[in-house]
This record gives sequence, C-alpha cells and structure tokens, in this order.
Amino acid sequence: MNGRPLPPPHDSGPDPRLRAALDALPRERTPPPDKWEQIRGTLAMVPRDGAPAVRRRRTRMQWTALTAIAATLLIAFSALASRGIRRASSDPLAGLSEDERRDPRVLALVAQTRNWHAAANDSLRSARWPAAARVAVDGAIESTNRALVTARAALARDPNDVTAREAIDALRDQQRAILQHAITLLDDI
Amino acid sequence: MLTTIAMWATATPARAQGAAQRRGWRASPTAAVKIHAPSGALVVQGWGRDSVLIEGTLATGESFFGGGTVNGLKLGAEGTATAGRTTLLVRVPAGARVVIRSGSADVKVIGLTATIDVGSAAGNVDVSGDTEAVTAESISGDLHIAVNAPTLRARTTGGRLDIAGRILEAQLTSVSGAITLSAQPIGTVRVETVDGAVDIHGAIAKTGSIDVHTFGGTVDLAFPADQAAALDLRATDGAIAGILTGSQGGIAPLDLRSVAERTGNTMSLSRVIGPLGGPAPPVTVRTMRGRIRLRTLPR
Repeated sequence: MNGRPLPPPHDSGPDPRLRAALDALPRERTPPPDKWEQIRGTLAMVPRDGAPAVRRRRTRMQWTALTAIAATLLIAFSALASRGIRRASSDPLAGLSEDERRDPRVLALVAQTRNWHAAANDSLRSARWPAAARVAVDGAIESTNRALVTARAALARDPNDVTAREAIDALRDQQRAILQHAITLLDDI
Repeated sequence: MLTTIAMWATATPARAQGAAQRRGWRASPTAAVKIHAPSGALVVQGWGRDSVLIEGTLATGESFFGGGTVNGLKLGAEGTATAGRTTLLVRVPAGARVVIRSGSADVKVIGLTATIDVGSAAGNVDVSGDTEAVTAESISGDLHIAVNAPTLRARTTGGRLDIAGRILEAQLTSVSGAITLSAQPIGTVRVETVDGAVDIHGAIAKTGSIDVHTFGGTVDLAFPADQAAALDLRATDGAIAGILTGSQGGIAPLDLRSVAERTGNTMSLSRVIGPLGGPAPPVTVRTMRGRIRLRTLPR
C-alpha cells in the first residue's frame, strides 16, 4: 500500500497494517445496509411474483411432455393396430366357417397367399419388384377381401343367394389369379 | 496393359448414364426373343431384317446384356438404376415371338405379327399392330391395346385397360381399374373386374358374345341402333337402366328400367333386342352391387 512489503502473518492475527489496509478498501461492492434490506425484500417478493410464471412454465412443460407421451402411445398403438388389421385382412382363413376351411378352393387360396408373402418378403426374389407393384397387389387383395366380406354377408342373410355364392367363388378365383400372376412376374423380372 | 485399357475404355461407357449403346445379333425371322427392361422406357419394333438390334441410353447402375442363338435370344438391361433414365429401342424380326418383362419400365410394342407377351410390374403397356396373339399384363400400370388379333388376354389390378381394334376373342381382367372396349366388331369378350367401371361400345360380331362379371363396377353398354342382342342382365343390390331407340327398342324407345323385373333387391332383364330374324349375340352381365346401363349409339 505504502510501497513497503508486508511482513508474513503470524499467529497473533492480521497485521495492524494489513487490517488498516483492508479497512481502507472501498466498500462499493457491498451494498449499504438499507440497500441490502431493500434487495432482500425484493428477493423475498420475487418468488411470490415469479411463482405463477414458473408454475406456468412447469405446467407448459408438463403438458408438452404429456402430449408427447400421448402422441407416442397413439402412434405405437395405431401402428400395432394397423399391423394387426393388415395381418387379419391378409389372413385368408380369418373369419371363415369350418366348411370353408375344408373347401379345396379356399385352401388353394391360402397356399397361394402364403406363397406370395414368402416371395414378396424374400429380398433376393423381390429385389427388382417396384414398390408401386407391391402396393397394387396389396391393394388388389384388400379390394377383393372387402368384396368378399360383403358377398359373404349377403350369403349369410340368404343362404340361397346364387349371385352372392357365384361372386364369392369368382372373387376367390380372382385373388388366386392375382397372386399367381404376381409371383410369376416377380420371379421373371 | 494396352488390352486392359482397351477393355476399360469399351466397358466404362456401358455403365455411364447417357452414353448411347448399340448391340446386335443375327436372328431367324421367327426367333423367340425375350427382352428385359427394369426401368425407364422400352420400345420394341418389328422390322424386315434377320437380326435383333438394341440401342439406347442406360441409367446409372444398369447395363446391357444379351446373347443366344439365331432361334432364341435373351437381351435387355439389367441392374438397378441409381440415377438417370434408361431408354431402349429394340428392333426384332417382325415375325419374332416376343416376350417382354419390365419392372417399372413403360413398354411400347409396334409392328410385330406373331405372338406378343408383355408383363410389367408397374409400367404402362402400349401394344399396336396386326398380330397373332397378345398377352399383356401390368400389375399397377395402364394397358392400351389397339390391335387386330385373334386373341387377347389383358390383365391389370389398379391400372386402366383401354382396348380397341379388331379382336375375335378377348379376356379382360382388372380389380379396380376401368375397362374400356371399343373393338370393331366386338368378338367373344369376357370381362371380369371387382370394382372397375366397364364401358363396352360398338357392334357385336354375329358370332360374338359379351360376358361381363363385376362386383361393384358400373357396366355401360352401347350398341348401334340396328344391333341385335339377347340380353341377360342381373344386378343384385344394383340397378338396370337405359333407353334403347331405333329398331333395338321397337317402334317406340324402350325404357329398360320399366321392363326389368325386380325380385327382392335384384333387378334382372332377359330380352332380345334389335331386328328380328337374324342372329342375336348373347350379352350377359352379372353384377353384385353395380349398375347396368344400356344405350343406343348415335348414328
């Protein structure tokens, strides 16, 4: 402070010169007591004034998280559901009576459907098979399945409905033909 | 070393997008030729020479292949296109028996006189000319056939079938694709569709017949005023409608709705129309949910 070096401290406490020097340090960095009380009062008020904002932020975050979780669950559920529906609709045995399950024409269709799935899911066999064709085959099977459901319902209402019976046979033949042609073409291109 | 450089120089353009390619083989006038086109566009044209020529540009990732004997050849493009577009022109003897297989390539066939068999997964197919027999199929593409041929088999699932020309016997099949037949005259025709709309218009040959089966597709039939036909129509959960004029309907226009029988939810009509005394080709329509409409073509 005064240009002379300070002696090392000893056990009796700070050197009076050092204390004096410390006391001489400016006090701007420490607020005056009244200012300090004001600050403390303000700090005490901040939580009261800031709580709604914090709560709002927390609530918003909670809602965002909940929405995200709900969306994730919804997506997962719909994916599983559509997969299940696809599986069910692509299962030719689904919803068939015992008589139908013994029908050779139905069994031939079941075999053909399984052949198609095996071919379409074989990455080597289906390497050159365009996505549009795959979509078209799936769409065609779904279309015929929908028509089959309608025709079977008509036959259930009237077991003597010749048109419905003919339609069911024709639709199954057509499904089998679609799959057969698709498999042949898939292996040939 | 020089040989290696020469091989590289000749081989590299075959894989480069945009580089024109050209290869040829000797072939007998009735050779069996099988052509492959994975993507892009393919035109197959008959010519009067005893050779097969393939030329065009290849997409990146595809390459030419080909070989065989004078009586049997297999050629085309192979590989998977990663960029660009393949465009091929294949010339074959006009009398060659041609089989074409396409992935997504659009196929056009012109000037062939023997059998034609086109199978495409997703490409459109266009066949024209005077030919012995045509088999055409596209799983998802449209088919446009305008030929003079004894027999035609055309099949699609979601694409459109547009058939014209002079065909003695035709089998047309779709699932949801619309089917239009305007052959002159109409020979023996069988149409099967699930939900596709069917439109058949024109004169039926004296030895011809029309047999249409739909599930939900609408069926529109239109014949000339002097066309005789033995109608056998049945629409379950559907309807029969239309007005026939001229000699088809008798002296006054015939409203088919008023003469069709209704039993429960089924409408049916069995009636001979047109001039009496001549042959009346059978016209049979069965639909589960569709509508059947008949009309007389304007003179």
